[in-house]
Amino acid sequence: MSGADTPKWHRYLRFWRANVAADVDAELTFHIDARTQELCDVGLDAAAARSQALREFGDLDRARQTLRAMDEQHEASTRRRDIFTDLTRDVPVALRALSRSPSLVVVVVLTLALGIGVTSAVYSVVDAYLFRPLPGAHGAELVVLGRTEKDIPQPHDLSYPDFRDYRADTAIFAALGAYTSRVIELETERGTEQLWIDDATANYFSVLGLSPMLGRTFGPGDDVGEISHPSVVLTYKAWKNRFASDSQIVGRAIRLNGHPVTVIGVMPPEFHGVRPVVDIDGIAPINQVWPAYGKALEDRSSIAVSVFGRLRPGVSLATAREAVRLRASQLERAYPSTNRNVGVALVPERYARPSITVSNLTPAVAAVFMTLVILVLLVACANVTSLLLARVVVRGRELAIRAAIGASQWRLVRQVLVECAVLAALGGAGAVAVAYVAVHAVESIHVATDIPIRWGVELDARVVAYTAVATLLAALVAGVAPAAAARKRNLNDVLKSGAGNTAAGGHRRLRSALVAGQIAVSVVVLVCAGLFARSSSNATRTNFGFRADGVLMMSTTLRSQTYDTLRGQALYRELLRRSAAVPGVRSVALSRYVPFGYERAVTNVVPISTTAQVPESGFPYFLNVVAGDYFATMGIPVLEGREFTDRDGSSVLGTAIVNAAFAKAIWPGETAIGKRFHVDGGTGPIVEIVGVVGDTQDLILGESPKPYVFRPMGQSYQSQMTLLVRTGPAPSSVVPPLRAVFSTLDRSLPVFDVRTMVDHLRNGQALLFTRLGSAFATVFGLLALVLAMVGVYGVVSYSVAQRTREIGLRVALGARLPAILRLVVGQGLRLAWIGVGIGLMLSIATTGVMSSILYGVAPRDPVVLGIVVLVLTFVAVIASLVPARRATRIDPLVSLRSD
Amino acid sequence: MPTSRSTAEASPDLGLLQGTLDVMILKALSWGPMHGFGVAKWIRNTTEDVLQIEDSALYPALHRMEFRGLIDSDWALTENKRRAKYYTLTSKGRQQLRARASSWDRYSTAVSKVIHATVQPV
Repeated sequence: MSGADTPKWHRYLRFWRANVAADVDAELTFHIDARTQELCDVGLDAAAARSQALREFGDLDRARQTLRAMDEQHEASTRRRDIFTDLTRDVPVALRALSRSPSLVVVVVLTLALGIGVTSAVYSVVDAYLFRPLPGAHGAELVVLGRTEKDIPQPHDLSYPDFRDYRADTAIFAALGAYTSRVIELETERGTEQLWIDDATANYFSVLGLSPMLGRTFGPGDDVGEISHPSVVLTYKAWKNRFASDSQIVGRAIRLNGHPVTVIGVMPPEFHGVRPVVDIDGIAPINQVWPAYGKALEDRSSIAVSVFGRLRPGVSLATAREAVRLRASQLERAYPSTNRNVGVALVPERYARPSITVSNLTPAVAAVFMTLVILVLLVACANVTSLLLARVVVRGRELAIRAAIGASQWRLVRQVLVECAVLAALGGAGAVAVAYVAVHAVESIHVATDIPIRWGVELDARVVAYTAVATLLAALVAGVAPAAAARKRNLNDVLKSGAGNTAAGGHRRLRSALVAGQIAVSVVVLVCAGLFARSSSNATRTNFGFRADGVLMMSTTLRSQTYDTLRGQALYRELLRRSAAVPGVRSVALSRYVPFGYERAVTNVVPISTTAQVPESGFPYFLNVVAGDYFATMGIPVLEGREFTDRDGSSVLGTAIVNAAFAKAIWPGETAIGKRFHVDGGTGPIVEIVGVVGDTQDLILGESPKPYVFRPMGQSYQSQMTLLVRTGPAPSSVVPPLRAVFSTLDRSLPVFDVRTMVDHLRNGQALLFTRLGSAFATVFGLLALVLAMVGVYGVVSYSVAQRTREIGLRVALGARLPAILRLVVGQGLRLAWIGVGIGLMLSIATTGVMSSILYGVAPRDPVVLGIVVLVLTFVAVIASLVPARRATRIDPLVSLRSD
Repeated sequence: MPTSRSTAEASPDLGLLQGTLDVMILKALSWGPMHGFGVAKWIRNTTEDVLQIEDSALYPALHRMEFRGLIDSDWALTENKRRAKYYTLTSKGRQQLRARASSWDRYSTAVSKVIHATVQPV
């Protein structure tokens, strides 16, 4: 049955959500009443007439029920069919209408696809790093602990003994684990490969609540005793890439750093380690594959382990913080030589990504990025709305004629809405494609570092759902205003006036407001992008206090079984001597710790003969152990005194070099040369200061200089050292000869972390995340710029189309081309400047919240603000020029005759 | 000829042949729009009460025919200013009436021929 046969009264019923039952009752009542009346007319009395009428009718109740059921069923099926019929009619109509303006479709779909697609991609990155909990039953409840010091506000790793004391607090912690990511050499038939292993407490996996895919994880006690349980659990990726997904691997022994180590399990693919950014290869119990590390486990001054765990159910974060604070002050009293002024920070794991050091910043970074995502989405929606609004206005005549020949307002509004939905669906599909490409582009970013950076970004269901919701919202937002515009059209006005030049002023104002608002938001996004970019470039050019260029780094570690202190020192001295002889090498040094590395140490300094107030346990200052021409190689200026020499060997009185911050803190206004202090607390050895060097950046960019102590290797042997080599312009060229030096000294020496200092800074803790943040912000900025351009172009070219007659008239009356150009471009510029003005005010009011995550640039940086104004002005001019050119080609004869 | 799905229509005591009521309704409405009571009254008067049709059977037939597009309906006022639902024949209904009437004629002629037959079977 076709729609035309549907009874009209049903439409009214449907419209008013009519009462089928009432209609049936009314019809039957009428029948009975009419028959009763008829019988009365032939002489029956009222009661008798009524009963006869009822008798004649038959079973009234049954008839009523039958009719109601029939009508309701019919009603429901009609409604269903009508909706379907409307859709099958509206969608082809919408497609036909849209196909008449292909350029509009392309612009709208591209705008939506870019806007939604790029924001989806960025959302998936932010989600992967900041929001998604770690895998495992307890992934979402994890907390991390960090050591804080009076002079170092950023939390960092704990000493192992401190970790043990916090772990003992079982009333607060359900479980607490610790780990250090380390490089280890895997020996295979192909040669040696480097693995990143988390050297971890045996409860590592039970803290997470994770089960292995193959084999088992560690049992309690697997981390007790040196090399008593040499075992390793592999990650899925390492198992797949390094061991060819060998299903028989469990129980097999592999050789790590020369020791046989049993593979006891393989983890499922979703596990990548406890740090979401780093892709480790496996986990080994502490002390089992890395025995040299054992000594650090008893050293309270060694900042050795990252600590993570979960609270007992019912224990709030505040309670736990209070408890660890109490424990920290107990430790301060019990171990004043190492724990003086040492506090502890406890933060949810997801705020401590990529490391606990930045836990003060992570929430701000996440907030800024999510705000950018929402803003860009809003801009895209505003753009689409304004384009569609223009379309409705331009189609005024068509809509008016359709209204005149009987299309209801609702029908026209529905038509506009369906067109928006079709566009949104196309845009959404495009968005998924854009997001897919963008996510893979992110994954292909190559970070030149030994840290296995993981781009665990996938276009998963959450992101697709996000895209779908965003598309739906975009369709709604973009559709409402044009639909409302279609509803308000006044038939008479449109038909009376010529095609197009009616442009109800309200619509034009609304469109202009939309575009101005969009430009304002673009300004905010661009200012954020600019601030990030400046921040990043400042950070790159920052004065580290040392010269990063031309320095090569190579790390090694000596096994304690083969090398005691004497043999170790002898080997390192020989390494220095031979490396210095390599052609192209200008100076060489050895250093236990490198700036912006993952390890550092603190020693408690108790100065002798000072007027400064010295706490009983001394000051906890950073310590490094160096050999060779360390300061010359690093380019750290020696301000007073001298560098270490070979004479600073194992003499009775130890020597030390301190930095300017140290000297200034303890002996302000006098020379520190010749002054003496205890290291390792008041009972530790006494050393004499032989040199004062310049301050350096070490932990966080832009930190205020921290007091630093340097000790010569001859007086403080370390098994692990990093060779630092200053070379000519191409540091990498000396890598092969230096590797040869290592292997002639001892073929089994592991060599790892081979990189230039510049790469170490760019791709390491120092700069990587600033750079990535700036890259993402730049993508947003460019997107906002493109969208702003489309917006201005849309409004101006629409207005040129509207004013064809007027412009034609002006030309006819003698207006010159420059005047026409000024007229059109001026309109675009006015719009842009209104938007820029509002945007500047918004930026000035809001970017203050970013101050904590910017480096060396104020949130209201005039350079950034100025550049944004210039760029947007330029974009507005470019966007207006195309329609302006069209305006100059208007032929007055044609345009005036066209109606 | 479509068969009815309504149970109310097939009241066996009527002794009416399937579809006969439909034809009568179509015929009634062929004179012009009528409400249900009018249709019932016309059929009663025309058949001179020979066919005792209960009114309760009439309405389901009317509604069913409306769903099938044979008739149309609308609410209107009677001469006495009462609101009543008037049914109108649609063009589809008119076609249906013609088809049904001619097949009824052939049917009744055939039956009549049999009943009044004067030729003995061979």
